[in-house]
Amino acid sequence: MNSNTPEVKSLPISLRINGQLVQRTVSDDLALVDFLQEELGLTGTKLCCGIGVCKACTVAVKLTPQSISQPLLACSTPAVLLDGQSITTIEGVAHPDKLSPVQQAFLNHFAFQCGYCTPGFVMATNMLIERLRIAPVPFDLLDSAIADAVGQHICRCTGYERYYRAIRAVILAEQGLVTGAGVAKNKTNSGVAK
Amino acid sequence: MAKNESAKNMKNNEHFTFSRRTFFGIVGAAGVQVVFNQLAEAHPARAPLLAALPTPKSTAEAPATGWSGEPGKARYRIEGVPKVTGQKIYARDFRARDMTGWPAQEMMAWVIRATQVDKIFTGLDLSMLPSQLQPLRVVTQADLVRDHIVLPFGMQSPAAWPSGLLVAPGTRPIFFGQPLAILIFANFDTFRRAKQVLQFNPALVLYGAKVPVPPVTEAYSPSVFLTRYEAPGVPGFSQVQDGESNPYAQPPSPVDKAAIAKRQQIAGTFAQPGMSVFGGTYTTQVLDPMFMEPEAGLAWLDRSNPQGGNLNLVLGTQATNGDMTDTLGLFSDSQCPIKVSTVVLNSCYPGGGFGGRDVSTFPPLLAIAAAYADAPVRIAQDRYEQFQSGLKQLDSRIEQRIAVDSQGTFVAFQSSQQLNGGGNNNYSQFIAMLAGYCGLSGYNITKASVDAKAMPTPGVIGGSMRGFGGPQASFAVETLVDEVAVSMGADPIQLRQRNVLQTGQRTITGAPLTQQMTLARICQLAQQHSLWTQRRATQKSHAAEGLLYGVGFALANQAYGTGTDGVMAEVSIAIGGAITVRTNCVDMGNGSATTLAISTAGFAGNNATQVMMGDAGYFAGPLGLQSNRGGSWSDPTWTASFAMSSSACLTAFHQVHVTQQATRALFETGILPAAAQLWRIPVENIRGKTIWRAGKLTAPNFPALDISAIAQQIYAGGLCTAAMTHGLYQGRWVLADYTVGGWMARQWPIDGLSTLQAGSSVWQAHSRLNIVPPDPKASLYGRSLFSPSGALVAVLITPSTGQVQVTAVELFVDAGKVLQPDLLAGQAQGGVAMGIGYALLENLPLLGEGAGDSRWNLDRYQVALAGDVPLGRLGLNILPTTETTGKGIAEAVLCPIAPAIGNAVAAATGKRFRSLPITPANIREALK
Repeated sequence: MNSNTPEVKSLPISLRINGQLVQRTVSDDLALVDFLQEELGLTGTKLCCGIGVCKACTVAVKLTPQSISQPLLACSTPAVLLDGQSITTIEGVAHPDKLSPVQQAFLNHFAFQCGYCTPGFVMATNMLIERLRIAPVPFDLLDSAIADAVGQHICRCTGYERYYRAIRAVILAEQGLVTGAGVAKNKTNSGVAK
Repeated sequence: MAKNESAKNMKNNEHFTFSRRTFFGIVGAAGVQVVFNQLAEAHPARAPLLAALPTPKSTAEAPATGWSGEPGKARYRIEGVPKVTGQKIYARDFRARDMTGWPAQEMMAWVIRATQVDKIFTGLDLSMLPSQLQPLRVVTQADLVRDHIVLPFGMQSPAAWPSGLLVAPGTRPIFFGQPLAILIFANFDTFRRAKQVLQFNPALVLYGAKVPVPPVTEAYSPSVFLTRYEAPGVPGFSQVQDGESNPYAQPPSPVDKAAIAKRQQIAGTFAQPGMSVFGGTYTTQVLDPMFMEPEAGLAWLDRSNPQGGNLNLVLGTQATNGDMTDTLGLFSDSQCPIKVSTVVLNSCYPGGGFGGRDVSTFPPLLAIAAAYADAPVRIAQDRYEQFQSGLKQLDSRIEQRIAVDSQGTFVAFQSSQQLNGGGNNNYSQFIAMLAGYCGLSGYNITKASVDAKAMPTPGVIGGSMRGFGGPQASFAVETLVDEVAVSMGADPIQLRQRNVLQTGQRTITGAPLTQQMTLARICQLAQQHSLWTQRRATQKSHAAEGLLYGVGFALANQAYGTGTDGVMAEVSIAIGGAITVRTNCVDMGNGSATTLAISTAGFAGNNATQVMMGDAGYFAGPLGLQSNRGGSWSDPTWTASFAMSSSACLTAFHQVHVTQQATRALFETGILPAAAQLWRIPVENIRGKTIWRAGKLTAPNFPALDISAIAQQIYAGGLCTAAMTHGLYQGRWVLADYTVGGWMARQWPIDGLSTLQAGSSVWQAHSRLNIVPPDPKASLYGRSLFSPSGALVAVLITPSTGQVQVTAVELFVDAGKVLQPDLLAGQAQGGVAMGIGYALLENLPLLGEGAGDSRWNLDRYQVALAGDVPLGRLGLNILPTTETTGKGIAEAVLCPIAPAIGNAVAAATGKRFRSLPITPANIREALK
């Protein structure tokens, strides 16, 4: 055997995925995206670059049930590192017949085309809203807050404009996420279908 | 992509031969119901997790009440919910266990590719893998030769270079990224662990002696040579008038000699007194389409049928027809021991396309893997592999010059375009051809010659990408025109306006422009826009901050369609009234599915509830049409082009047309007769007197009828439940008369019609009579449908860093009749972002340091991020129109962006950039 052959170490992990307890023994180098797709059949989390640049594979992770969700790149995070934590993937955001406001806003604004980047945008936006519920931003900092949340996500089809409009609309539609002047004036589209 | 020429059509026609084999089109990349129900729900691991879904924490829940808006409109995309909820719709999502009737266990295949082209490939060294990680099988070129595997059309090597789908040991790989071997592993885990050892490992591929790369002197055939000459009092010359010509042919034919003579006269024009001459060399770079989903697919050769195996494919492709026929062609040699009688294409929604999935090299490799595996096999490329193997946009080197008189009239033009393809032809030659057709941009230049050729190189294979040669030509011509304006002290937009093509004038091929030409209007609107009128004042204010500001403009007259377009659709009605559209095209994200779904509203009063896409094999039998080479319109079963690859620009005009005509057929032969029966009146008494109102069919003095009641009567009365149409556009739609039952339609713009009666499973193909074929000259038009567009772009440049920020874009586009504004705007906004990447960010070296070296990913290849796009300052100006049909604008919205950016940079810096991309380093250097 060549010395290049990696040592294969498998470890038991226990974590919650979309609220359900999942226990498996997995290789210590198995990326979360592969764990989700190959082990669990959850293919909504998308692999695009595989090196953490494009953000298409963004999922939400909580260290404890009480902690705030943090974005995590499933393509470059070994699943074993998430032992004991709670993961939400796009499949856990909503049921197809009962969408979240973010999902509905993305639909209503025709925010995406091929849709491959959409799960990542949904997850990142949901986490932005979660943060804003705890720490609202002044209206004039809303755009930069959006840019901080999704500004590194790659969309190749639609040129970002419609994602940003949808995200602004859904944030402004929820009371208390944005403070200061300009909120009411700009609350033009709540994400409800035209 | 706007593509195709007569030669490419011939190729497509050859692809689409169904005479000896049976095709089955299974579910397509369909509306929500089909893909989700039939494929995704079969997933074993999904249901338990779904059952445990937490209730979404929503505050302002907006119930999803369906995608469909009022008839003819959509509230959102028909396939939007699966996409926004992460359901399985992409080829990459599916596993063998998801597929009904397939063995659950799947293997993984991995394609090993060349990273060197100047050494002999001697083999692979897999000894670094422990036995448990060894592949079950290594497929080599020796296997393919032994088994008489036939190379697809698009995988041909340059003349005198060795050909082969894989590289035979002992020979030289001819291009970067060329497949060397296919490794088949027992399962995903083995594959993953083996790949960790092997990927990027320099010891894997064994190379021997260094050998020189032989020079290539012959372009991929055919090259295009266009000569147009018009002058008062002398005979004119053009491709349409005189036929195709090649002024370099030896020996020259009479038409070649005529072209030579005209070219001499054109050259003489440049030397005339009072003529100012401008020109130079303009270059663009290799791009990767960088669609988001790296190519992936699943395949299984089911050998249970002794008559020949069923090759099942799960693919996201733009070339449904081409991939099916290419796949069958692989095993078509009579000596091939791998017997394939049927290809079943499960066509998935592609995760982006931009042309990169139009006859990609991926499907044949997947099919080969399946043929040499004993079980379903999957290939899932990572991004490094996608860069290394995916089709690229060809780079370009365009040498051109223009003669301009003292009044600013463009008098003569000469251009020599070389586009560099890779080591297989793919569609490179046809891309160069369209670059040639776009060689004058949107200008009426009556003395012009354009040569366009695609040269083979050892680079990664080049092929379709958004614009298909148009962006390369646009950058060259629109940069040159701007230089002319600056040199002559003319307003760049006024100069353009003076020279743009008008209705009734002719293109470089001599094709007549019959559409409303709005290029001049675009110039007017741009000149009046505040971004332009205030550019100098804004420049001054930024100068005070130490920043450079400029506004640039560019035009485009990008074609849509391919010159000879064969399209088809089926529209059917279920007993409950639900309408379904079926098509062979796919939706790469451009909105085809939604657009076709709302296209039934005109004649059926209601949007379709389902669109089945990518159903490539379904239509040939029922329509009874073929497009064999050498056929003619006198043969009632012949058409000039049966099917084409999907491209974004083919929806609004072409696909919508046949969908509307199929709906019309269903209306005349099913819906209206059923309504007449319900109203108890002879159908002829109400033909032409009904109106759809709010989804109900109305006629004077009769109660309005709901579609469901009509549908029930269709089935009760044995009327038509489905209609299928084929259309052929070549300068105009082919017309013919059809009779269905007692109803006759004269001069109908379709060339094939079939209907299906309630209770029957047998389609009836209806004879076409009194056919009006295209103008015999139309096959020489090249292109005849255009979407004029223009862009104003403002840039702000930081001199110390050379950083260019696009701060505003105003896009002007003639989209014809707008079908769904949101889809149009999304295409336009996406086109702007891609154009910014083209101008400023994206770049792949053609050869050794390029994508073929296997080390390219998004850390090195930069595409536009949100911060690169002028969010909130991107204006879309849709020109008013009197046209009754939509236009394909997917490329039109892209083509003017890069040259407008270049012209803006020139306006800001006073420095002209003739090469893309324009990088900060270029700008810093120029400003020294």
